[in-house]
Amino acid sequence: MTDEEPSLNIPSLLTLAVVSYFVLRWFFNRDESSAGGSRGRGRGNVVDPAQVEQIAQMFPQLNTRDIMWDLQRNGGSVAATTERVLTGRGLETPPPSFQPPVAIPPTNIPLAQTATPVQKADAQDLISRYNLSAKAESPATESEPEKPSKSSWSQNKEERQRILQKRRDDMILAARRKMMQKSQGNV
Amino acid sequence: MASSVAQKRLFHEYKNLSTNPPEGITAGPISEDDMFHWEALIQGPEETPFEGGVFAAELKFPRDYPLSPPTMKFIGGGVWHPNVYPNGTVCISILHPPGDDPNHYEHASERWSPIQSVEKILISVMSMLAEPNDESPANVEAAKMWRERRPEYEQKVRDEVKKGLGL
Amino acid sequence: MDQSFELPDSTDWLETPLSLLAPFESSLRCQVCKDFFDNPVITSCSHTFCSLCIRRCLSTEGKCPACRSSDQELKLRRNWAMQELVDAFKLARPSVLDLARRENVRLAREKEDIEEPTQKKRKVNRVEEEEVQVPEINSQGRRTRSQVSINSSAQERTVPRVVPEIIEDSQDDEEYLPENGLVACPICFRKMKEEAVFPHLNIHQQEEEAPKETPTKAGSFGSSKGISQRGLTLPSKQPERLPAINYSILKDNSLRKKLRDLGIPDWGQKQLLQRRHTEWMNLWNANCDSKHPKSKRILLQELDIWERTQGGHATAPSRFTTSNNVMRKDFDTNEWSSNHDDDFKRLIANARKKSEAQVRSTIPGASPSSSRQKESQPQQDTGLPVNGAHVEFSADTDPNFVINLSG
Repeated sequence: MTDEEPSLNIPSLLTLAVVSYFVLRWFFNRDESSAGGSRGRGRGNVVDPAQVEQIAQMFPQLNTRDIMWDLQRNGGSVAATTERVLTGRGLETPPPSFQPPVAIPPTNIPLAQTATPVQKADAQDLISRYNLSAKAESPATESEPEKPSKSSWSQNKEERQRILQKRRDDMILAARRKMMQKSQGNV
Repeated sequence: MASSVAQKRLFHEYKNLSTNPPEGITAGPISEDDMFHWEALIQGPEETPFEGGVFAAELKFPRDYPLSPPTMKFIGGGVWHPNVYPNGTVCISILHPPGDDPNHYEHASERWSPIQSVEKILISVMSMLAEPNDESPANVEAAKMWRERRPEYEQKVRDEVKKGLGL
Repeated sequence: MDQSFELPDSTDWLETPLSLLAPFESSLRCQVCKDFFDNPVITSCSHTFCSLCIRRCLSTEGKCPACRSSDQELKLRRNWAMQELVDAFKLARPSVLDLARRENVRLAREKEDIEEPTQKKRKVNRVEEEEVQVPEINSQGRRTRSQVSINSSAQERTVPRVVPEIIEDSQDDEEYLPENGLVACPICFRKMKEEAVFPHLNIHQQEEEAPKETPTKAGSFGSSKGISQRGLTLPSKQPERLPAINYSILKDNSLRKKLRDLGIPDWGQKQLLQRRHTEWMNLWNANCDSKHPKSKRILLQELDIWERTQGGHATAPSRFTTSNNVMRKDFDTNEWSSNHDDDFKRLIANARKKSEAQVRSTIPGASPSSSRQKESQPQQDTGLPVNGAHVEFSADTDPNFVINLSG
C-alpha cells in the first residue's frame, strides 16, 4: 500500500489536473456564452459581429448592413436569418437611418493581434503620450534651427526606429511651438 | 520569401513613406517586429479648424493585407468630427472594402482596393478632416453641431486641437 | 522578422541624380505587392499584375484592383514583354544604382571644393597641370588605383585628358570642356560624358558576365537570366492548371478528400479547407504562368508559409516563418540567434506565463488567475483566431449553421 501510493499519486493527480482543466474551461465557456447571449437579447440592438461574420461567410453575396439589420430585428438569431435567406425570401434593405451598431471587421479575417500593447491612454495629449514634456518645456528658440531631415532611411533596424521617432517628435513639437506662438500673438 | 506577402508589402510602404513622406504625414510601425500595427501622425489641414493640430492614429492591418483594408483609429485626444466615431475609429470610404457598403453613398471607386496604400488612406483622412461627409455620420452629435452650429463646432475642434498638443 | 535591411525600392533613386528613375522603377513593380513583377499577367481590362497577386485578388473579390471591372482568372494572359523588361532591369539595377550613388558622392565633394577658398583651388589646378605633363598617364590610358589615391585631390581634373580615347561619340571640341559635365565610371574610374556612361557600363557588364555566367541573385526568381534567354521556349511539360471548385456544393469530407488528392494538408474546419484550397490553386496556377515553373515541393513550402502567416497556424503575429531558411546549407547560425534573440526570449517568457496560468487554473482556489485563463482560452483551444474559422468554435454557434452550410 505504501509503495503503491506514489505511483498512484502522479497519474491520478495528472488526471485530476486535466479533468479540472476541462471542467473549468467548459464552465467559463458556458458562462461566457450565456452572458453574451443574454446581453444580446437584453439590449436588443447589439448585433454580435461574430454572427454577422458567420452569415457573411455563408452568403458572401449579402450586404453586411442587411445582415445586421435582419439580425437586429430577429433578436440576433443566426438560424432565423439563415432560414430566411435559404427560403429565398431574401433580406430586407434597411432604412437609410439604420446605423450599424457595431463596427464590423471588413472580412472574416480578424485583425492582426498586437504583440506589443501600446500604452493605452484615451484622452491623453500627445505630449504626455510620447513623453515629450521635457522637450516641450525647453525654450522654443533653441531647438528651432534643426530641420527634420526630409528623406531618411537607414539599413539599421534600430536606427530606422530612432529616425521615425525623431520625425514624430519633431512634428509634434513643431506644431506645439507654432500653436503657442499663434496664441501668444492673439493675446 | 520567408516573410508573408503582407509583411513585405508593408515594409515597402514603410520605406516609401520614410524616404518620400507626403507633407504633414509621418507613419510607420510601432515596432518592426510587428509590421501589422502602425502609428501615424497627420497634420490638420490648413484653413480648417484643425489647422495647426497634429493627430495620432493607429492603423491595424489584417493578415491578408492588401486584400483587405486596415482599420484606423485616432488615439490620444479625440477628434471631434462627423466621420469619426467617438472612440476614434475613422469611418471613411477608402477603409471599406467594395464588398460591403455600410454607407449607401459610397461609390465603389472610392473604396478599398489592393492598390490603395497607407499613404492614400492618410491623405484621404486629411481631406476628410477638411470636408466632412455629412450623409452618414459616425458621430451624430458632431454632425449635428457641424450642420447647425458651425461656429460652436469649430471652436470645439480648436479646443481639442490645443488640448491634444498639451496646451 | 528576417526582413533584409536592404529592401530594394523605387525610392532608392530619389536621393541620386537619377531621381527620375523612381517612377520608372515603380512602373515595373506590381501595385499589389510593390515588388517587381513576378510572372506578370495582363487582365482583360489591360492592367498588369503578378500572376499570384491578381489571382489572390480575383479569388477574393472577382474584380480588377486597379479599375474594379469584373474579371476571371481564366482570362488572364501572360505578359512576356513585361517579364523581360523586369528581368533586364533587375540585372542592370545594382550597377546603375551604384553609379548613381557614386555620382552623388562626387557631386557632394565637388560642392565642397567650390566652397573651399580659391587659393587652394588654384594650387590644385597647378598640380593638375604638372600632372598632365607626365607622359605616362596619357599613354597608359587606364590609371591604376595607387595613382588615383596618390593624386586624390588632383585626380578629377587630370582624368579628362585621358577621356577622348574612350568616348566614342564625343566631339573633338568637347574634349577640353571643363570637367563638370563628366562622370566617372564606377568600375574603371574613367571619366566620360554622362550619356556615355550607360553604354560604357554595358561593356563592363559583359566582361563580367563572360567568365562568371549570369550573376543571378540567390533570392530572385529563377528567370533572371534575362536577355540571353530571349528564346522563351516553354518547358516541354506544362503543368496542368487546377480548376476552381464550387465549395458550396461540396461536403466537408469530399473537400477534405480533394485536398488529400492534391497532396496538401487536409486538417481544419471547412472554412480553412476552402481557404487553403484557394491559396493552393492560386499558387499552382500562378506557377503555371511561369517560364520556369517551380517544383511542387517549393510550392508546398510556399503554402506552408501561407499556413503560418494567414492559415491555420497563424495564431500570434508570426514572424517565425523562416524554417526554410534554417534548412539551407549556408545558414548562419550565429546571425540567426543574435537576430532573433529577442524573439526567443519573448517566446520563452510567453511559454512560462502560459504554463503558469495553466497550472494555477487547475487549482480551484486560484481565482485571480482564472480570469486571465479565460481570456487566453480561445487562443489556446482553437488555435485559429486569426484565420476566421473561430466562429465554429464559439460555444454559442448554432449547430444548424454547419448543417445548413454543407446542405
